[in-house]
Amino acid sequence: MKRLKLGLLLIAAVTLTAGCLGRRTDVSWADIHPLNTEQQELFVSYKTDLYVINPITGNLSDGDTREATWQIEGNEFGAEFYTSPIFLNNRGDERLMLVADYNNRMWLINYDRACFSNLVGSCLSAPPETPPIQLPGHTFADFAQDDERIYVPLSEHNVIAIKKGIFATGWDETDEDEYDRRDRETFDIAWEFETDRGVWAQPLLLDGVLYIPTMDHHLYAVDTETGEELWHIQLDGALASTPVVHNNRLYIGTFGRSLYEIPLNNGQPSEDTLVHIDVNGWVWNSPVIIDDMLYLADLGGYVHALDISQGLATAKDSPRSWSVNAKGGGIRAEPLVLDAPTVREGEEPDFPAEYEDGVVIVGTREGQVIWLNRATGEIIDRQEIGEEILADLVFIPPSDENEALVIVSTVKDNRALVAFFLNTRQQVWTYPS
Amino acid sequence: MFETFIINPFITIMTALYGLLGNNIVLAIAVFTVIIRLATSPLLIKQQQSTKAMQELQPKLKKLQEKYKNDREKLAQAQMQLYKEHGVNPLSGCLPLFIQLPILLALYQAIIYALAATPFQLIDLSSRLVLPGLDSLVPLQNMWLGMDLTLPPTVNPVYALAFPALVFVTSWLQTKLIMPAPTNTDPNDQTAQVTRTMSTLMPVMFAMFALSFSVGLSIYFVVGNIVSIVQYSLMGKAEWGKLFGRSSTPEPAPAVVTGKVSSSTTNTPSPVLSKAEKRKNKKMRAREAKSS
Repeated sequence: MKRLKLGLLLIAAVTLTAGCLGRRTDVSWADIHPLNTEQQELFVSYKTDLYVINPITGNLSDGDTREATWQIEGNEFGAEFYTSPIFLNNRGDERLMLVADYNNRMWLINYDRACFSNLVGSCLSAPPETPPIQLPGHTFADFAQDDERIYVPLSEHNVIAIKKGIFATGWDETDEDEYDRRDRETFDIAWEFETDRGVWAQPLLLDGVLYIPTMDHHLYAVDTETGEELWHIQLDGALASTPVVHNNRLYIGTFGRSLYEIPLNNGQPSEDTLVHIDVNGWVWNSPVIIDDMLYLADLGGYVHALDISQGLATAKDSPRSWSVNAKGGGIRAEPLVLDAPTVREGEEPDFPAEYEDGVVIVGTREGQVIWLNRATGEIIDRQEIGEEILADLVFIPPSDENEALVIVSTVKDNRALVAFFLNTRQQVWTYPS
Repeated sequence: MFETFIINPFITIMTALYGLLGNNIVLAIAVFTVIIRLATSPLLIKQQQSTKAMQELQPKLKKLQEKYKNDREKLAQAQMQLYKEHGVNPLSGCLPLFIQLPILLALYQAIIYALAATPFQLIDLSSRLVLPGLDSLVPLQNMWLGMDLTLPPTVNPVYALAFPALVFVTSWLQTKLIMPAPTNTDPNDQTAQVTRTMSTLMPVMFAMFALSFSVGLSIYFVVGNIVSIVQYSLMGKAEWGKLFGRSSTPEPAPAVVTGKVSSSTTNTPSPVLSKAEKRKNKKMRAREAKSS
């Protein structure tokens, strides 16, 4: 009997341990999306909930124009949200937005009344049985959109273009035929672009071209009207971040521990002029480019500042370039790069002296928020949150009512959001408090 | 510690195998399983030997239990003495199991991490590849024959349910062929009951695992079971006769009654004993006569 018990104990141990380790499937990282800088609102999609936060107070927002405190608890549909919403243009006074979950569904949300909505704008206290859009795959990255279509990256295979239909702009309300046509085609799939391994990054939309970074190591350029491929280029690793355009060159980091510069000649890339440099880990965020300086962080924990005024090939030789191990674990989130605040003549600067050159702020997987001198990479300060930071940081500019803030999100429910004063680097609030 | 020294190297080896085997994750899992099984085969052999030795001692243990049924302390002392005389450690049969357990867990983790289906799993993978140059293989192809190997069969196409069935069949075969027959046919004998229960329970349990965990893990189970069967067959320990109704269950053992070890109580693949086993039994009888 002892052996039987021992056997059962072993089986239970295997089951429990296997179940507990390595299966972080029930969490998501909060996506913070500034909705409206005038109203100072942050849209947060995190785990199963969607809410709007007042960044000054750290409380759920009730807004000036809305009738509801803003939170939609989505436990009943077990979703995990990673993506930002997009606003749709509709006929009524109430604003509708579209948000996707990780369970292949897109929901219409009434922003003003904090409720689910259907296509005709009814306010629903619970999600409708059938979502307005059932996607053919998981959505992990933000969408791109233009007037006519929403471009949804799916993490398994492809990008789909969904017609906005009645939510498109520019239609003539008096033209019944036009309305009917759009009504019928609302949320129809306009085209589908297949890739081998899915799309985990927001595509870049520029001048009628959709640049799609894919996990199959290719960057594709696709015509937004037709979904036809214009060109593609193969890089040395998976692409999980959105490319950035600067001086007619595309910049993108890869899981192959590289940063690429892809010069475009009449919209076409040239493999001969492709430049790449090594970095210290996978790149899972987009570069930030300010004043010919490119800032990038990698999952090896390094922060890089590269002078790309003469292109990437010579960037490392520039005295303005630096590369620093922030020593806080890998960095997934995009670095937040801030200029030194402008000081009016005759006024005293109201920011710390160490910010004179500007500041780069990163959040790390070990739960640290690290401030670096933008010119030198010298670490100014670090604050320990203790919870993994994966989502991009958000800067709330100062106003008459508030000081400048930096909002960070973690993967833990009890500290989903943490706000710091930019200048003092002291913690202001956490949500939930 | 466990992650640094076991899981991460496992993930790295599996990823490297994936690259070497033409970006085929199923082959990588299969080859890795074979490597693991071969590497742990000394443990298996030891476990088998220990189990067999313990079974050979069962009649004597039973005799001691009867003799000291009212004195647990003396029983324990006598049992220890018996183990000592025969050079058997009662825990040595469990030790290999305990060593295999972390390996099984690590392999499971390695499959989950290496295949990295979710954003979190992928981000975890970023710091786990300990050899440079493997980053360009990421993400590993986790689709095979239309199945997502990172997901359980229940959320894959219906035919993925063949995997739990295969796990059950191969586990049952393995148990049937390898698990030693009880040395005693007494229906009340606890060891025999445990053996019977385990031989039924284990395949069911593994099939349940296969049903709830990723298809990738099922591949590990199936390949692992097949490798075990082959290993034991090569060692001459697999009792194929059992499959065809030729049970090697021994005759009722007079040794249980008389306290002597009969040849029929040994765990042999067939009723006919090898010369080596006859010699061993002879030695045991001599030792027993001496001690009494």
